[in-house]
Amino acid sequence: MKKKSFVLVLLFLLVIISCQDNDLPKKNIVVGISADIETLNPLFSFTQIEGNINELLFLSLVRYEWNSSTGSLDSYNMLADNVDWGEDSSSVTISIRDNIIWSDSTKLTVNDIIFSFELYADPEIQSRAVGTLNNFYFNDEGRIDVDRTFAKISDSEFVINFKPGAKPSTFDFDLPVLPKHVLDKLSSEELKHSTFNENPVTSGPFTLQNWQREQRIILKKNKDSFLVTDKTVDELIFKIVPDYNSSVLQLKSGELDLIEEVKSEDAEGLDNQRGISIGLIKGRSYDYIGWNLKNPKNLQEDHELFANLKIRKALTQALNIEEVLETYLYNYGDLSSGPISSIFVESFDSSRKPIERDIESVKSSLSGLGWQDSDNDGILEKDGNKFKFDLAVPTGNPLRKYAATIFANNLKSVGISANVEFLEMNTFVSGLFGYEYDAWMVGWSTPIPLDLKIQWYSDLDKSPFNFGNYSNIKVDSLIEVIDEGLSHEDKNIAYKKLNQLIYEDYPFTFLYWIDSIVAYNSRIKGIEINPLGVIHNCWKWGVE
Amino acid sequence: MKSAIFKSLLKRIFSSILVLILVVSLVFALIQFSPGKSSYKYISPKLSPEVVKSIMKDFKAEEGIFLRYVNFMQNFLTGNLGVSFNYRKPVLEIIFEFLPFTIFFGLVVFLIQLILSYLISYEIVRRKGSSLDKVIQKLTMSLYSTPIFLLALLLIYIFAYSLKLFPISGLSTFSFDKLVWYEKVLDILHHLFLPGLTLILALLPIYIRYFTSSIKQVLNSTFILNLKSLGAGNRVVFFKHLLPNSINPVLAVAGIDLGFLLSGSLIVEVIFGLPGMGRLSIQALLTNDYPLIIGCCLISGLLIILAGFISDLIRIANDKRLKLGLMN
Repeated sequence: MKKKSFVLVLLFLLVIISCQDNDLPKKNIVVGISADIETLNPLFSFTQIEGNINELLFLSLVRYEWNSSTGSLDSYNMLADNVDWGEDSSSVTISIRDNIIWSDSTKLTVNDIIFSFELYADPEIQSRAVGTLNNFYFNDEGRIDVDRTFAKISDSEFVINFKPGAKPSTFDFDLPVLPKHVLDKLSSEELKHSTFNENPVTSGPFTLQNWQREQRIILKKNKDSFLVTDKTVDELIFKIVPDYNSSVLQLKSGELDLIEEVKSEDAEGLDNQRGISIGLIKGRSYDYIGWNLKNPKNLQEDHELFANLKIRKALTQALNIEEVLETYLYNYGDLSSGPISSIFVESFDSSRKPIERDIESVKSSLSGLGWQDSDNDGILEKDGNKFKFDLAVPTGNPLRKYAATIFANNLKSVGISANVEFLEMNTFVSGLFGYEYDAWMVGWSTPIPLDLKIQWYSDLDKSPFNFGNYSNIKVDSLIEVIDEGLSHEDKNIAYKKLNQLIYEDYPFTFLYWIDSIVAYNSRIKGIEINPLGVIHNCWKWGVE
Repeated sequence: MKSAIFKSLLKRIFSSILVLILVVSLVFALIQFSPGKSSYKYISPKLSPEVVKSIMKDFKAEEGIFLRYVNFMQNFLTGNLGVSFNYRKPVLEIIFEFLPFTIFFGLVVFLIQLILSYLISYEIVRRKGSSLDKVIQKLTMSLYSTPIFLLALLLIYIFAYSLKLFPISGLSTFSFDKLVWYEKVLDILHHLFLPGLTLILALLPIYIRYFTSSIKQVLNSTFILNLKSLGAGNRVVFFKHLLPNSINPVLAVAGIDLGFLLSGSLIVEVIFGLPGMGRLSIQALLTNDYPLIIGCCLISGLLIILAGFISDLIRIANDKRLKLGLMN
């Protein structure tokens, strides 16, 4: 009898517990993200997801939309009501919308904007934008010279004066605006640890309702915002789901409405699932094998193998890149023919195709350079040295692990021994910044707008990501010309030329552009997936 | 006798502190010699070379490992574990955000699994050779050989995805703040059912083994036979003699297991998206958040020592003969 009662009570409790429901408002969207963010303060939002969320909470003067026909960014006014460039573009007069209110009911004025620029550029704060506002006037302490840079006309109108010789654009004033009345009381040190970083006063189309660490961030529609409409969802919830399999199951079960970075092997299955749609962010990141053109043991010397263009080309021709694209990525990607992808329509040379695999050409090329397998051990030799090298690959990416194995086998078939060395990511990155590898395989995300200088300029101080010590005078001069300012058409021509020069130098073996796969519940309407991401302009999203 | 115990207790506390200092020093040394810098994660192609340089400079520690160690120990001994790079908040403040959940979850799961495994073991011993014994033996073997992540995914698939009885991940519903207190309790229990079940099922087979052998040994001992022959009732034999004598040997191991459980159960926390110490520690490790890594290691060490100490106290309460020996 007692046992029966115990079982009944247990069952009853289970039923009660199981009957709990989410009790969500109908108009919400739950986005799955794999890791929590660190801050809601745009000053310190270094990661993409932090940037995306901050864009929903804070207004900037201008914003961008992706123009897929030109493959470039189109700016449009956000907080700004009117942007009037001076005749010689040495200054810009900006008037702002009159009806913008911070979430604490204070009016947003020009003072907030000028103060924000001061904060972003403050060397003591180390914001994400420090060092990028180069077209403004600065004083000897490295801070913005406010008097020379800004001229306040009224609370809703001001002028930005750019320093002589500057080539300003909207990118100089597209940062999210911060509330002066909240932050001006804090010292730079206090600002880094302020409660504002977790519970900010905002001005965007959404406000923060709740942030529970490692659980969720709930944004609520800001009904006072000029951006929201009746269709805008009431709540946008970012749910932290660290496990990938769990996030896929949650999408299928309806607990999540949208997930990013879906594995290619899951894409087809999800696409066939009722109520789930698939979207692709194309041409933002590629994988490559980098060849160090300098000897890692002595960076003054050329690399004994990879300093030779013919060898780099032969290595590229030996790889069966298409096999990886088909068998692992299920063709969710494209072969790469240089650092510029096809999404940059006007800067991309569509007539240029990636080099094809050609084993015979590889063999004859290496043989012509004196590489022979004289001891018949399957590995080529020259002057007593075997053709072998270490290929460093960071762990944690199954695609790269798979590809490295295939490529090592491809190289072995032409008599080259590539010893694949898998390294923990921190160790790998440390070696990369120290130019320690002969060769390495990793990925790269192309910045928007295009910037090839940080990776391909020969002055390593100005190109911190030139891990292979690449140097080409023609490339340098083209980069400098682009930096100095070119017309739209000339810039596109220069980029096409740059892509060609870099690709034909084979400093990297460009492998493939990897599609970033997004899966979402079909009830979401108005979703726009483009190279700027998914969670972009999502106040335009509605639900059925 | 009392002063001897007091002395032993002081000795134990002193040695525990020493162990903690050693652990923290070792972690400090490992971090200093490990490759990678915490600045790397802040560097992206979007940043200008100036920003990249300034970030790397900002994260550069002062020169000299000895000086760094002295500074670190000075701060450590005054209770200052520094500020987390990731969270931009004092390390202790962050740890205290995550610790309560881990302690609550770890303790509840551990207690439930201890009670369950003891009861099952007792039934197995009582019904030795029966079909129940055989079924449980087979089941525990299967569970023991199932990796915990697979077990978690299976439970999620069956109970959360197919039957829709429980949520797949998270600690509470989105509307948690709007619930009244008892609804909040039920909501959390609802979310913790599957992760709890996963951990219980993962630990159960081991403890059933321990308890079965321990119970068998005690039941076969002469004093139990004597008690039974003198007419002692089953209830008296069970609660006064069998239970204390059969749990004592297992408690030594349980103390260590509890310590690890209280330091966070990483796999379960990741799969079920729970905000525990395991996830915090691994994130700190992966992002080279040195102050937080040291803080997590310190707390883990502290909890393991504390759990061992508590288990020893329970054993002493059960068996007074162990008093001085265990204190030392």
